[in-house]
Amino acid sequence: MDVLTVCPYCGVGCGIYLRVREGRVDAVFPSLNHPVNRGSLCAKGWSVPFFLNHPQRARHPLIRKGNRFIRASWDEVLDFVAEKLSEIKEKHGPDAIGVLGSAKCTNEDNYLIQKFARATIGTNNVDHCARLCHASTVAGLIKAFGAGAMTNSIEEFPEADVILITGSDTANQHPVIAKWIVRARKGGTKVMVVDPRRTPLARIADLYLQHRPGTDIAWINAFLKIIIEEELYDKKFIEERTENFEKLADSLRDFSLDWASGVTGIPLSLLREGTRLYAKAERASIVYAMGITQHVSGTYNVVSLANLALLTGNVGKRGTGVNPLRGQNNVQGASDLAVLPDVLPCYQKVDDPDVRKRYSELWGVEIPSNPGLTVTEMIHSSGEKIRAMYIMGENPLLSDPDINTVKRKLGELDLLVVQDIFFSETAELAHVFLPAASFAEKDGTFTNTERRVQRVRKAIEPPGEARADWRIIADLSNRLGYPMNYTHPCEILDEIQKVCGIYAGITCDLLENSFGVRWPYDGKSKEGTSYLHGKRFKTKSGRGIFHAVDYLPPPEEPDETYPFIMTTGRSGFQWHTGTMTRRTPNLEREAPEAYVEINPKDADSLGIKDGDRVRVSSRRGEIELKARITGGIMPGVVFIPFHYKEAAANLLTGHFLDPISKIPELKVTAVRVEKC
Amino acid sequence: MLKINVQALRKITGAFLEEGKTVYAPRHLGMGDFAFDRIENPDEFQIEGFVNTLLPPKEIFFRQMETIGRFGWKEEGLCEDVEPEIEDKVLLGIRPCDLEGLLLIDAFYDRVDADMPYKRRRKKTFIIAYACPEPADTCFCVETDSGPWAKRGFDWQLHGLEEGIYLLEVGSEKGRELADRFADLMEKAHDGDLELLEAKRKETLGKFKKRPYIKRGIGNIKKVGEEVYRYLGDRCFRCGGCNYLCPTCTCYNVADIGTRRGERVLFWDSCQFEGYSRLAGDLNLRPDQGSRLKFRFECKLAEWNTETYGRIRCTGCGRCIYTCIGDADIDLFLKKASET
Repeated sequence: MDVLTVCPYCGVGCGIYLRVREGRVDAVFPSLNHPVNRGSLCAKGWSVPFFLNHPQRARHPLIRKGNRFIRASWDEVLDFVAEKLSEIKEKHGPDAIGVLGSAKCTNEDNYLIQKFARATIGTNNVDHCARLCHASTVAGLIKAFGAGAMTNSIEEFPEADVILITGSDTANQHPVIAKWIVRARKGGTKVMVVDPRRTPLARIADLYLQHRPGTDIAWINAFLKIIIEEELYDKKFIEERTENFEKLADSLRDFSLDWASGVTGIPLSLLREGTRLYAKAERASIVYAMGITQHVSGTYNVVSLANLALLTGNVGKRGTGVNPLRGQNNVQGASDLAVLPDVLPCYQKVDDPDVRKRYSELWGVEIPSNPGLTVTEMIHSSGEKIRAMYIMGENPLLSDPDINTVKRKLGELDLLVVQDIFFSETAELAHVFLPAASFAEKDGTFTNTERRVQRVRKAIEPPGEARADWRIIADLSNRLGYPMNYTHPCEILDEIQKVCGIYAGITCDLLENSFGVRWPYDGKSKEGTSYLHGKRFKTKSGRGIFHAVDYLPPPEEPDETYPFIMTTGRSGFQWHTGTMTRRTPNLEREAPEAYVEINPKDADSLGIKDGDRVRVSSRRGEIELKARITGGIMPGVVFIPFHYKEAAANLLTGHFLDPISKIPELKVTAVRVEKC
Repeated sequence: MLKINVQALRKITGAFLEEGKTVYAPRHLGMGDFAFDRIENPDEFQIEGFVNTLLPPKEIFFRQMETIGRFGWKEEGLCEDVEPEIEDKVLLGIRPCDLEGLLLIDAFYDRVDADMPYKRRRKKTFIIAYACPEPADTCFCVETDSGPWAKRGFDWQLHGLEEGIYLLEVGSEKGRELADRFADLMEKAHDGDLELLEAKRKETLGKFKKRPYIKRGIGNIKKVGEEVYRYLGDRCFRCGGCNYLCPTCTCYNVADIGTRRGERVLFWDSCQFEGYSRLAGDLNLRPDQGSRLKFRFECKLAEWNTETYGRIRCTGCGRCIYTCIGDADIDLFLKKASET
């Protein structure tokens, strides 16, 4: 039997079939006709069955007794968690409890977990790992366009005349989107890459600009300045569709291109060449990811890219736009459905009394009015303001910055509940561990990076006593006195499409014989909305809004003690904290150990040879790992993937947050490199 | 040649199922996707109306991943083999390119004295091939002498005359026996049918995209310069798809999954992974993607294949072309090779 579902790795949302034999998934293959992947998968997608069948999959609920975990029944653990949560709520108030949803879980799981936080517990302390990846996208694009999502669709890349890729190693992180870009290029689309690392797409790009990490606003403002100087902007579009242009132009009057060239490391001639390539295109599309967002200036980096698109009229038509590539399979959905502390489903502000009134009526309970804490804030106030945390499908002990502190803070909680498919590093600190069903063992929907809501189908039974996340949350909520009586995720999706406008009309019936529908769904077109902002932006005025953005230097600049900039990222063969991929033999073989990429010049002056063990230290910690010498990274900069617990890059990163979106600075950390 | 219609074919399939044979055939999964898989009743198969299944039917014999053993410390030193099931099989609707692929895998494993699950499963297989009436634009079996109709390896081969009506060509002794057994469900083909078949075949051949560079490229394989491999190497993003979907790829790896308790698993490997050719001490005889692509193209196309297998080991199915997430497929390679 072959079951059509959605790949659980990245946000591309490839259609896959799981082949089930004797109750196990023992093969996976791509759909030939799926509009996103058309017969392709990446190495991770091809390896999905390994983690599903892994003998270490969590099978039973566990409860801590002293230093040991012992098996307990579902009734026992759920009763225990319910009792403890009530106790803590009684004693410290609902805001002493924090809840983390998960971008790996379904829309239905996530909708329920934020409802659980808000309606059952009574707090807005609910967030998820989007905080660490695209919180700044949501904040930035809402400022500029009024909607925090990819403006255009994957199928439109071949229609672009120019694709500008920045801060995205697309070939490794969103390989199937790289396929679209490569094929677009074959069809005549020009590709430009701006990135501190010479990524695989940079190698085959028409133009590559290498900039210092953390100087994005400087090069983007340089582009804006050159466009205005050379009058390459779209006057008609600016007049009819935007506001605040004068403010932007004013702010750039004294902007120095020579300064920008100096601070970014991009020669002025290349800044000009890049600007002209982008601005002169009939249709130009911007693609970006973590290299733009994971900075203290993350929100303004995104806003700057939006300025670029608005200035040249490259938004609101096919083959253009500002296109964030979302990391996790369902980070778009988890964000849409408000696993975020400041909004209710569909990005409706929780501090707006009208919004609260509507949801209070819908959910039959008063919604708390004060925005809650973010992931990083919750963890850092653990043991103080926060007394209990409920973590569904996340592993902050490897994924969050400054993990020595994370470990200490989580250890100070009165109650830590971890719900996951594997017993993760974070689970080791838990009081209660709840085994969850994987994507192949439950029904529901995921929303991919281009807003495509797709059906996830149950192919096999969960291992042991593991249960679907939505069911665990509902059972717990019932015990806490707020009834959640759903019998199937389709009932939850039905509730979602009633309360959340952008999901209106999207039901299980609609998705049944379909490769998904991109929100918003107009009730007619088979695949939903291809691109946003066609006639109006989703802002209050209906216009795109320019913002004057000043360059903000990274929080840590290299100095004598820590002379290098470390930037973090991922390998194409591991996924985040490796819970799944490190248990997959061919992926683990391909990327078995941590490494630091270092430029040959720097390696030379430090006496480091390729393959040497080196020590990398920052103000917060140190790790030892292998040196990989490559000309793909500029002198003065080193790169470390963050997957490996044996040399966790996040021991080095700091707790510096973007003041608007609270995303941490994961791309610029001052470090020292020494030979071991 | 005999003549048979699809209803009769379903009846025969029903008879196979009744006598306990397992039948593997293409099935429509919805929205135009087809897969070759086990069917439980004769109404489930659909052999025409699409070009080919995404996974080659080699997956039935050589599984993407399969458990070949179990181990456990706690269970008093559990250590056991897991044997593959041996069924009396019927493969219905296999395309000529994939059939040729199976024959090449047979030949490969015949050279090694190993007790592979593939070898065990491959025994007792009755093959009903389906000659392709319509190529996809990635198909090039005409250039690799492996289609659009099969010349060997089948027990029966079906040639479509019109929808649901086929000429049945017997290809083996076993095929003859079974054709006799089901004689009342078939009739003898008339001269007019044979003429129609000839016309259909001509029409099919005319539909193939012209690729004169394929044969020229294969002929040049020894002369291809490093710059071609470098160019393609820069455009390969190591997904493994070309190997996984290849009807002739045979490489696998074995790993133990789990530590104290677990399974020994045999699974498809890809020579495009860096780890595939990595030796101890991080030495790699194929250190860059270009050299790995060179290995793969030579493994399929180099002259020694003809010496060993009687032909090249590419059957022109075109799967590696459409699955490629980069721009390093065999079609592009042969274009470049032909210009060498």
